[in-house]
Amino acid sequence: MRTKTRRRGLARTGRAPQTQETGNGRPEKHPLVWLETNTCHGDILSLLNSYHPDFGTLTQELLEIYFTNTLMAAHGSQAIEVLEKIRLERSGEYILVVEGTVPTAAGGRYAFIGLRDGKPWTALDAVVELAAGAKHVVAVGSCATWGLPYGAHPNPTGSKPVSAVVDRPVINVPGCPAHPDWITGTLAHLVWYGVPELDAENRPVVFYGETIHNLCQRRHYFESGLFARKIGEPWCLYKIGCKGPVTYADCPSRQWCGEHLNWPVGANTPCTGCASPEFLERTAPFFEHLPDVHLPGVRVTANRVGLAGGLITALGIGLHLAGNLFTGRLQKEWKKGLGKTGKTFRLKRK
Amino acid sequence: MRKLRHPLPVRLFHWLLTPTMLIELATGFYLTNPSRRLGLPNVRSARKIHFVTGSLLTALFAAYLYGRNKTEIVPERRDLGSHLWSFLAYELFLTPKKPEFPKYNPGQKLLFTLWLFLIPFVLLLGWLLYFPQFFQKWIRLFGGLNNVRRLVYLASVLMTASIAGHVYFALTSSVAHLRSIFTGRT
Ligand code: HEM
Ligand code: HEM
Repeated sequence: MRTKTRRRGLARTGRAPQTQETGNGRPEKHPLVWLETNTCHGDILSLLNSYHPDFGTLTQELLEIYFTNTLMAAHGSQAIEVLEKIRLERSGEYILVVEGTVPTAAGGRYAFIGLRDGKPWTALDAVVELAAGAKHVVAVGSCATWGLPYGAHPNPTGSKPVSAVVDRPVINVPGCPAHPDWITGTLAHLVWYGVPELDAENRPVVFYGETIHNLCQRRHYFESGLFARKIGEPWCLYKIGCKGPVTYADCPSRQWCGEHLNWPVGANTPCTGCASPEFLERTAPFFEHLPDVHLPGVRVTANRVGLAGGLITALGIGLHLAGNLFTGRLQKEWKKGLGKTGKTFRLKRK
Repeated sequence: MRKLRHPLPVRLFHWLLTPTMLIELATGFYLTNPSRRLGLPNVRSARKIHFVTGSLLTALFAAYLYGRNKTEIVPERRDLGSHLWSFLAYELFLTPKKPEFPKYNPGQKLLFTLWLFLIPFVLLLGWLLYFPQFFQKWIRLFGGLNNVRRLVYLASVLMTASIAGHVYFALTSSVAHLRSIFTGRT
């Protein structure tokens, strides 16, 4: 267990947190910009629900949050000036957190973060410019990490994930919203130890190293075939579309609602795969095991495709068999075949 | 002496492939939609059978791909031209005259060639599902884990439909050929 925690865990080096003291004996806080683009603000609200440490402690001891349009008092040019100042004066020092997709169509004019020198500053330009000077870029939430749901078909705004618009590595902290611990844990690791161990999708392995299915308390129900048939039943929710098997996150062991109280499956409703790169288009329909199949002009459930495949095969074979019988071909073939066998048999007997 | 149509290695392969493939499909569909009605006791056993059989199937098909002379199987130009038309005319009951082909008819060749690609494809996807962490980049290439599941399912539907067609034609079109897959000779 210990080696596993070490390999995957926060304290894999066993080093003490790397903080610098300021003159007054307090640790120096790390500058951070929290930029919201096309988003519902869900992730910053999730962060506000963090418990250990809570948001207050986070801002008092770990992070100097220079910009977050949801929380800060400044607005208009005053707020934008802060952003410009940190970009120019603290280049290479600050962490840039982006929440939301970045619209790229029409030169990015589907989202402005404000006016700069009297001209609209697009979210696209802001992300690109701020990322260029950041020490680390962190995409928080499934919008910023995978580009959905704003980037769903037909995606008129040309919305993209952060990693697709900036020319440098982006640490992905997905979830809809991301769990407060995933955000604070990643930020704390960046401040204290540097970049955490990441997987092929650039997610911190400590939070996204295993599938929900493999961590699930109801796994034994799956193995022994005890399945819920509808929402609300206290069994394995696999058959009503649980995306636990295809989603990497530690929800079952970490749990949600502030004091780690519960999570979707604990509340008898299937996981929707909100932290998965396939969210939303390929983890929907939420209550179906497999994503729908797009045929020209129609969208059908995978089960129906299976059923239709079976029916068409049965129909084809049935029709051909009818033709075979009607024309007498089948009878002739079997008579000939068996006749031959009979003849050999007789020849041998002689 | 009857003519040798299927040498022993081909027959051996065929009769090892048939049960493993059918077991793999049955357990695969059970995993899509676990139900006691399908006769398996629980998911744990279905998964065990699926993985063990899947490994056998992978080895078996790798040997086939390596050892089988594919010229008898892959369609030639005429199999997509004149041979195909005479074959279709007969199978659609437009003519009573049964066309003769060197070995396999164009329908069989197309089917066996489809399998030549479809089976390794499903086997590959199966291994991606089995080692999802190791194959994260590959899985992304195929559109993510849930999409891999969908592809496996759809490929399994196609596989089942084509096997049903294969068995139907094997049982109805030529008793001599049917005999040959057991005895080797027509
Ligand atoms: C021709 C060969 C195969 C066929 C037709 C087949 C078919 C299937 C089907 C239909 C599913 C259910 C997908 C779903 O709806 O979620 C499945 C799942 C799976 N298959 Fe296969 N499969 C094949 C080979 C393999 C092989 C070689 C392996 C590797 C050992 C493998 C490993 C898996 C795994 C790990 C799953 C997911 C099981 C789970 O959800 O617990 N398959 N397969
Ligand atoms: C009970 C079921 C089956 C029967 C009665 C059957 C029958 C036959 C027959 C009669 C042939 C030879 C055709 C000819 O000589 O013209 C054949 C070939 C073949 N069958 Fe089947 N088959 C069955 C199941 C399967 C299954 C499940 C598969 C798997 C996909 C399969 C794959 C093949 C292949 C690949 C060949 C060509 C072998 C070669 O020449 O390399 N068969 N089968």
